[in-house]
Amino acid sequence: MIKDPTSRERFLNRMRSAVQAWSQPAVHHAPATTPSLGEPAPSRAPSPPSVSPDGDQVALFCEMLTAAGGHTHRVSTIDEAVQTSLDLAQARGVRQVVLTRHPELVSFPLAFVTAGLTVTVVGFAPDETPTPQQRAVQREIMARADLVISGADYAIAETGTLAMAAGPHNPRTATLLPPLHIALLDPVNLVPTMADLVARFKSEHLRDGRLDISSLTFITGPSRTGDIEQTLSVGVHGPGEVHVIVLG
Amino acid sequence: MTEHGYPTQPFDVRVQEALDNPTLGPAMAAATERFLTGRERTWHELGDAQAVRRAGRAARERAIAHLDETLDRLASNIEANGGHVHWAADAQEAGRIVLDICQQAGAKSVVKSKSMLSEEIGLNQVLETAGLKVVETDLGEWIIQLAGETPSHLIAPAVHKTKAQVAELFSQVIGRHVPPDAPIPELTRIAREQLRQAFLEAGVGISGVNFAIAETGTISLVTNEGNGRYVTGMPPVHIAVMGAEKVIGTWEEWTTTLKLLTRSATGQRISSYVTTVSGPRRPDDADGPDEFHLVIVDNGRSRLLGSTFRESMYCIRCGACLNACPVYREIGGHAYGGVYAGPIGAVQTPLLFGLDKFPELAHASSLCGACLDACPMMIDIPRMLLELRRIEAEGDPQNWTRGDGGRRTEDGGRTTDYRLPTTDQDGTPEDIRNITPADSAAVSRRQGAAKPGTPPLRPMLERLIFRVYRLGASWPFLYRLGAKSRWLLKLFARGERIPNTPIPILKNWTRYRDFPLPAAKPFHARWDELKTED
Ligand code: SF4
Repeated sequence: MIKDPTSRERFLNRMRSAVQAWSQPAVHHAPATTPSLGEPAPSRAPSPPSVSPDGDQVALFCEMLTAAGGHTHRVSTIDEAVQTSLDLAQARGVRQVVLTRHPELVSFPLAFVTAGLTVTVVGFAPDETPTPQQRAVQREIMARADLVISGADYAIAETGTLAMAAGPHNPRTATLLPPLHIALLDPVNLVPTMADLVARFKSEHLRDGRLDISSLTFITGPSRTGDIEQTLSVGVHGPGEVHVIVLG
Repeated sequence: MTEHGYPTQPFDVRVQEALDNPTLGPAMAAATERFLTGRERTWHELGDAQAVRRAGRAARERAIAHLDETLDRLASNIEANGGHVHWAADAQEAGRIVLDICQQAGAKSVVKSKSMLSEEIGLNQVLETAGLKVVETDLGEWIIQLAGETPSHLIAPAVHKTKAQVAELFSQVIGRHVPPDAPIPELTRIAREQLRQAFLEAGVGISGVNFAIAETGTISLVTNEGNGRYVTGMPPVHIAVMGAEKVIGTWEEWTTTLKLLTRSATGQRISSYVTTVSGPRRPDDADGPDEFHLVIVDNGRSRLLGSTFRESMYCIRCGACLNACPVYREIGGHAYGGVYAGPIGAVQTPLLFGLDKFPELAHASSLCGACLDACPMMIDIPRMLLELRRIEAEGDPQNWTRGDGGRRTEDGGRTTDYRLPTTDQDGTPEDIRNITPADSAAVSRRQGAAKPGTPPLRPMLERLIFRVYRLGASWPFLYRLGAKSRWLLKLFARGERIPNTPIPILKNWTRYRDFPLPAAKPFHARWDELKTED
């Protein structure tokens, strides 16, 4: 690819001239904001009240996810979580299961294999540096799976959203390819709002001004479209069914 | 429909086609209504929605006020993340850059998620001409790609297509009959299978950008279908294309604008998927692209930046102004003829593609102000439409930044300022017309457009009518006489309105609008009565 090193300078110079032209004292001193809008804009949005301000965040999360077309299950032990997932899988005739390499999921494979399902753990151990072949094999397996079971790195109560940080243990397409997605959520990862999530994400992943992950994906309910006659239809590209099992 | 962004039909023909289309009207009404209701529902949850709007607008203002610095920061951070940044002055350069990357990658097929910018720069034609297979993966975009059309709505591009038409298109693709009454989930399943294959095969994924976050070199995309996740995560190379204005400073500001975007666009608190990408796959990542490229496109935006139309760059392409606009709701997106439709399109299309080529768009508005009310960024579209009309009537439409169009106030105050930079530091004329596709054939087919360089653009007859009106309005006795024309006009009226008159002077005007009859008892008569009652 021929990259012209001066294109950046020229591009930014054009912008700079326009910016300077604007900020030179103008003939007519007009506020930058449309004046009818009242007092000057605050630099940050006031934190909005969540939908049920005093309510418990797990309940709010469940309510919001349900409103977005997802399903939630509350369990008190890991064994219960395993059983709930297995029931969901069996009721849907699932045969191939992929699991992401999430620490909370270690007790899942045995139960699924015992029940006669095929289970593959996708993702890699830290510092394993997968070869292209290894990655291609995993992609094929994920593309054929009927069900993916994942953890959740973060979740947002005000919108019923899960957030997944890409990494060796967590392929970004794992939660996208299979038609059914079950996520296990530990409430310690649940925050009230997106603003809270951003604060926490930055504190965990921003090192010396640089993010240490390549992608953060937010998932709220199933894949949906209204593109044909504005009728809601799910599962067009991603999972058509999303279940979140909340622990504790 | 359109060639390289220019319509092949005159505006009045496009409008007539839209008004005559039996499925468009009801579909438009239903879609815009649905989005408006959804917006209403989630808007109040913001609490002090005005304050959130102000914060969102302030965030956009900050990014644009120092656009050179914001973009510089974005680019440096993306490069530090291992990505590549490319700078395109115009549509041609952008197309060339993207094509180069695709060819370097040895790609045969490309998957795309929805990007208005790629429509603006005619990217699909560039890639297809070079022999690449291009697949749009947003379901609505894919449908209209199969039909060989352009989007009719920012958010719902295929809103004008019926289920039976979709079944027909799908039959051709899969080579097997799909009955016209096939249920929608069945159609969705066909699309899933076909597009899944395209994702797995593609050598390059091309996406747009909803916002780019400068502080960490991150781009973000919102989708409901999940195609954005595939396009950015599956092919070995990911190219994101963005207009220079799509940048925002920080993640905190992003949070605010994202909230406003999804609520204004579809009435959702958040879309099903929000994808953020900060460079290519890290070496030990389980998947993701090996290469990440961001193409930042000017294509006329640096001209907007220094002009009175700067405000239009705060747009987050949510479509709320389209849904709110009574004109758009009647005629739909295609009639506007440009890539960007609706109220904001009526401002941006002439500015980006040439005022002389789209002289009618500034008039395709009743200036009712519904767009300004709806806009989460509080962009004063009516002000800019008026400004465009003014430039068109008395300025130099070819060089609007040279005339009053370059004045820097955003409050509509009348001031003239010619002190705009004419060259940048490299001596490049500030005023170069960035979009000049050699498309004179398409343009000359348009009868309505004035030849370049023939000011003023408004027709003689229209100017005459306004002169007569001015005369009448300034002489009370003439005005009274005019008001008495009711008995004459009544001959053509249905009720209190004249729908379609044979009166030559009014004919063009009433073709798409009703002309109201003068009131039976004019205001001045009633005023006189009131005074005598006192
Ligand atoms: S002008 Fe405002 S309402 Fe219209 S698309 Fe842009 S941001 Fe949305």
